[in-house]
Amino acid sequence: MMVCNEMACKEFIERYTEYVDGALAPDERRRFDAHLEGCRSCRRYQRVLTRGLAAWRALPRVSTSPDFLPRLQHRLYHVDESSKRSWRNQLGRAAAIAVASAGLFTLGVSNGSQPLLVEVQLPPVMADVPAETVAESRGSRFADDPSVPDWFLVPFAPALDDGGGLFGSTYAVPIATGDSIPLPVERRSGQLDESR
Amino acid sequence: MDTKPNLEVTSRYATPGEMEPLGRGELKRFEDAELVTQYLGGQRFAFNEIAERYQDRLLNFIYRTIGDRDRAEDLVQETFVRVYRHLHRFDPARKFSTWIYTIASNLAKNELRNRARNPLVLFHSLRKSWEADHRPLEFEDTAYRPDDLFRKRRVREQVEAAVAELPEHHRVVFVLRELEGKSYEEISEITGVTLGTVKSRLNRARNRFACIISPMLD
Repeated sequence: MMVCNEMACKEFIERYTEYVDGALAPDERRRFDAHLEGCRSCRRYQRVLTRGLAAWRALPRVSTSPDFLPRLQHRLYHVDESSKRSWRNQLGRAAAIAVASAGLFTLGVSNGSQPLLVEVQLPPVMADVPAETVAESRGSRFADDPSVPDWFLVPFAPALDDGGGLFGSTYAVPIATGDSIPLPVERRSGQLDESR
Repeated sequence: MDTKPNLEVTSRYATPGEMEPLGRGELKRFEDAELVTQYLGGQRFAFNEIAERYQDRLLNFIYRTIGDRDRAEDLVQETFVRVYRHLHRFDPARKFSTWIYTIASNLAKNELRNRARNPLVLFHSLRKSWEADHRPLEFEDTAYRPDDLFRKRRVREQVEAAVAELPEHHRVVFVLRELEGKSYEEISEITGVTLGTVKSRLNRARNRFACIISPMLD
């Protein structure tokens, strides 16, 4: 390796980037300047690099095609749309989860101590036999029996599959759960309360 | 004349719906980071201004890095789409140009890596780079002699080939420094390597470039 002005060309080439980009300390820079002045080989290196880079930078710069921005806007429109869609999907998923949670919660409550009462409008039905007659006939059968409680003498409410009640009123019907099988026990204001 | 926008006036617009659209001339006066703020504040056209500002710069950067103009344009589009998607994550303390160049640089590097894995793509792109049709038509200076013109054209081809021969990680640093004029610190941030590595890669790239073109220019 050729040595000029107390600096090896190798060092000059290795640190040329710092030298040419002004990243050297002032005294270092002076040392490099001195080397360059006295070294033909390093001057040639610098000349080749400078001219080569100038030729490269002088290459015509390319420009985007005329439809570049419209195409970009079209793509960005789809980005917006897909993000809106995913937001809607997330919202829908959240709503479905909320509904499912509410349903599960309701089921949990209905499986608990209180049955859920649903009001069902039943059409009025004409009774063939007045209720008093039923009560009287039942009462006449058990009136003398001391083991029969008084409440038994109250006339029965119709069975749920009769298609209607004797009184054409609103009945409370438990929803289908295991422990809420309709057991008519008492008539009170035209409703069946089976939670008792 | 003071070209700085009056931010006190614009900052009173709190919600996007309340903002009045700014004209293109007004948007041109904004710095990059201010354009981002304006866009996030509801000025839809601020992003157009960003795209107009950077489209050619990014195209030349990616084109010089990967050597395929059409693919470079696709990657510039992809860069803008990614910027658009993640604009809300942009840290205003950072330089916007560094951020957008980081995205473009990563896409260019991925492209080069994909090509290395797929030789068919490499062949395709090489064939494209041999054709000079995509370059804009230039009217040559008649003051030059024909042999000068020929030599000039040869030198151009040689320098392009010399850059294309550089290893990918050297080429990105080389293009960022020599063509885009980025500082070492910016290159370090864009490429995600240390300052020392930037200097080392740049020096190696310059040496390699000089070795390839010296027979032509000496």
